[in-house]
Amino acid sequence: MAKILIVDDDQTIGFMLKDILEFGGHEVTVSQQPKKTKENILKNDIELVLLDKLISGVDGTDVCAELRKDEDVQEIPIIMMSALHNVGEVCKSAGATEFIAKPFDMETLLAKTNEILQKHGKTS
Amino acid sequence: MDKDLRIQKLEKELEESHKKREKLEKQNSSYEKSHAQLKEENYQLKGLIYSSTALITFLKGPEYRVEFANNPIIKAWGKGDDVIGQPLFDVVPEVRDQGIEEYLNQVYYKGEPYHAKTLPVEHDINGEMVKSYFDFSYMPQYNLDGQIVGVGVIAQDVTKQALLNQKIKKSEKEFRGLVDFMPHKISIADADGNTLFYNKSWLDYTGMSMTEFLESHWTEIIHPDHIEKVEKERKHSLKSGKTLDLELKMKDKNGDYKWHLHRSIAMKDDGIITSWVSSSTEIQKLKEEEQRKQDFLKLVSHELKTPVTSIKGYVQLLQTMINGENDKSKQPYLHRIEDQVERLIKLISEILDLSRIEQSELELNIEEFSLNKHVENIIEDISYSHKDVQIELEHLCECDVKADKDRIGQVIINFITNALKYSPDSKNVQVKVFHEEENNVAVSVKDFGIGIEKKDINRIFNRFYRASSMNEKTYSGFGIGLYLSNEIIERHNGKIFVDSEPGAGSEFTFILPLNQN
Repeated sequence: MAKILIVDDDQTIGFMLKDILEFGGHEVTVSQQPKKTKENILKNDIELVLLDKLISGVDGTDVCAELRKDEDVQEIPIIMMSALHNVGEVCKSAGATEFIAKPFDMETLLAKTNEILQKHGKTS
Repeated sequence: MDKDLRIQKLEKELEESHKKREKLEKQNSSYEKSHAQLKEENYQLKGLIYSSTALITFLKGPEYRVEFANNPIIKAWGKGDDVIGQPLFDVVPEVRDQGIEEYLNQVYYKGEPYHAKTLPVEHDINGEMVKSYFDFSYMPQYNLDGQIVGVGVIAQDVTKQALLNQKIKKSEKEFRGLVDFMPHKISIADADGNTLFYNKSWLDYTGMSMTEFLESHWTEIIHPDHIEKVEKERKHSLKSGKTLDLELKMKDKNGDYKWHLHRSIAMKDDGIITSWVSSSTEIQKLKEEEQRKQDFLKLVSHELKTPVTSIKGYVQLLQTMINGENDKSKQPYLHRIEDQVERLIKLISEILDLSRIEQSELELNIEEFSLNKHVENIIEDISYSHKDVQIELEHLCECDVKADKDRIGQVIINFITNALKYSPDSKNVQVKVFHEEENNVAVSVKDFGIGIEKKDINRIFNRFYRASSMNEKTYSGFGIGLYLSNEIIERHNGKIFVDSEPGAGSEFTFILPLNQN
């Protein structure tokens, strides 16, 4: 049970993720505006961010790197997602905690989410 | 005493006369000897002149009468032995106006020898003017008083060499024309790689003159990022004599760098490098196309994956929810949806695999399976989602194959979905599994649709080729299905082909060999 923020400009994906994660017992906020990510995190007390890599006009890795630089939010775990299989390394070097290639299995998504939340909960 | 004295005197006279006679006899024999010697020398000289391959004649007097002519020159004139004693210009009147008389006069009247190289002369041989080339020497001939009495002519027929030289010159001119005419950039360098020649295309591209270009260093026009690589490979080629083959960017006259495919090949004589011939072909457009293709494939894959991701997510969510219910009747349907989504995902991945396939990196997972069952299952799946079609399956043989099950399935699906797609009026498709030959197995898919025009038949297995009709948008698809099918079957060492008649339908067949490991 955690508060999760989804940043993806594709509404269907956003809602699908929301539905799955809510089914998994989490509280989910969906945003299509990557520039308001920090604001959304602080406003909703977010514990985990799911961030798409290719958002119209914005590269998710830039958003991720910015969050990592920002003292207020730099500790928050970020899972980056992309339909491109070979960008995992790029995302991780931008500071992503984990990378998931689309399309993913529901089980994998839930497992990874819980694993990261647990780890994060333990370390912080 | 007188008598004795007289006798003595007579004896002395007799003795002297004897001596004189002996002397005379000796003299005579010596004359005879030298005469014979002279005769022999004369004979040898004549023999030498006659047997010489050089053309030799002696022309006497102001009429240039043929005093002597050896066989080669008589042959060159195209005449017989009866020329001896006749004036030259009676024998070969045609040469008079070809400058020969002038040369002879110069020698005869002024005593100046005349030499000529590769002089063309036309002789009338049996009514036909035959052009030959000669190296000539005209020499004045003197009598004992030092007066000029005639002209000696020694000539060598150099027609063969002259014609060969002409041929070489013509060939060189043609090749130079060719090299300058073609859009490729051609250059020639010595064995050490120092360029000696650039063709017109090179000069046009760089905007430099031949001298400017030859004086510039070869690295000047190469993109800074590529110099190191080119230098390394160039050194290796110069050392090993191996063909240089690389892609690099080179600067044009406007300072823009454009992609080129460059090749240099060593010209060898007895295994020793004598020179290097190089060609550079601009492939800028090709490179741009390649990039556009990659970008397009990325975009397609990305755009397709997004909706598929949410379909898959919801299907899995529904499955999890239904698993908790007592009523299990809905489960198989969700399974089918999930299977189809998986297939879709696979197809989308294959779009990205296109480039991999082109580089022969398509991996096959070979397993043994029943081809008949596989075809059956696929038809069942397709019939399930296409309620209005009739797919007939005929097993003419039962056969297990060792192949990549998914890839073969992909080919069968492609054949059947194509058959349905291009049969707007008839939804009848006939599928057959049979032995085309004893050691192979074939699957054919026959439809009664629009068919394929003859001109298109060879192109349908090409990448991105799509059947066109009046309205380009009539048929959906990427145009890679048959291309992929062809590649898949080829990787299985099989064959793929089509029989078709426009308006009557098509029959696609693939054959797999059975005896392969």
